[in-house]
Amino acid sequence: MKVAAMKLAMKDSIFKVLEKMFFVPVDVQETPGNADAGDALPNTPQITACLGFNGPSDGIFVLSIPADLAASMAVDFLGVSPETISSEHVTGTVKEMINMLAGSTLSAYEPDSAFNLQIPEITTAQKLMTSDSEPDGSITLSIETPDNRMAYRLLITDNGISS
Amino acid sequence: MPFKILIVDDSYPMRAVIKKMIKASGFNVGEFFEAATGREALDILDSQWLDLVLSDYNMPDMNGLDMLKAMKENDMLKDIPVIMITTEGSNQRIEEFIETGVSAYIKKPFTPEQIRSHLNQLLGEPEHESCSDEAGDEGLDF
Repeated sequence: MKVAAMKLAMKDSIFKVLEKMFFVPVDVQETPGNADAGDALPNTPQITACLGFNGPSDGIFVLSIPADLAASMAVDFLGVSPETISSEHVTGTVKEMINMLAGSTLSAYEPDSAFNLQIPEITTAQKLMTSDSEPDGSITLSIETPDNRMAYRLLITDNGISS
Repeated sequence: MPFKILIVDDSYPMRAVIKKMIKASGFNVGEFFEAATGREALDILDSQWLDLVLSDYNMPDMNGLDMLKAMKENDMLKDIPVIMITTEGSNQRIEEFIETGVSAYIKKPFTPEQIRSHLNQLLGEPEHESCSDEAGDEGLDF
């Protein structure tokens, strides 16, 4: 996997998805290669979603988002009042978010290849956000919103990365 | 005559957002039907005459492409227009959709204007312009 091209595709997809579909202005920072993705997150309850893919490259995308930010994004996305939002609405919105991020990233990274995306899942596996979970490397981006922060991560599970 | 539209997506939020975008576009929709998989969609199509299907590609049980293939093999369903909505926007996947006979495709993320444009092409102009039209394209974006 070409890590520079993948980072660019991940950044591009963050702006496209979060600004076009969720109306959230964002800034993106890369976290150091040896840091846990948890370092990129505020110390509050998180909702973590993952989505595996295979094709010319294999891996797992992980999105970790503070629960309060996820709830407010779900309210805006669905156009419902905060009083009526359910946990299913919130987790469903986070799953859709990672689905769009992953699809958009892979399309930008390799537009002529077809990848098979799995169905997004909510996970409690915090190890997906730590450096222990890097079979062949990882890319972690910290997404800054005006008043919060989330992390978008790629765990590479195929033949590693190259520059 | 109000349209009957089927929205197929395993994500409840996406079904809700698509429905909201269609309503905001001013089309005269009499009834929305919803399915979470291609198989559920085929069950609905067996019992209802529908004007249009908007379907996600990536779903458990039966994906959007397999649903489209099944519709094309059924004389009662083959002429119902299908808009495929996909996160997997690779050229190869798009070619598969076209070869199978999709009426249009939309890549996620998308805007209400993209939905409206395809509905215009497949169903004609809406009879009533919605108040959101006055806000222009910017005002329609989610």
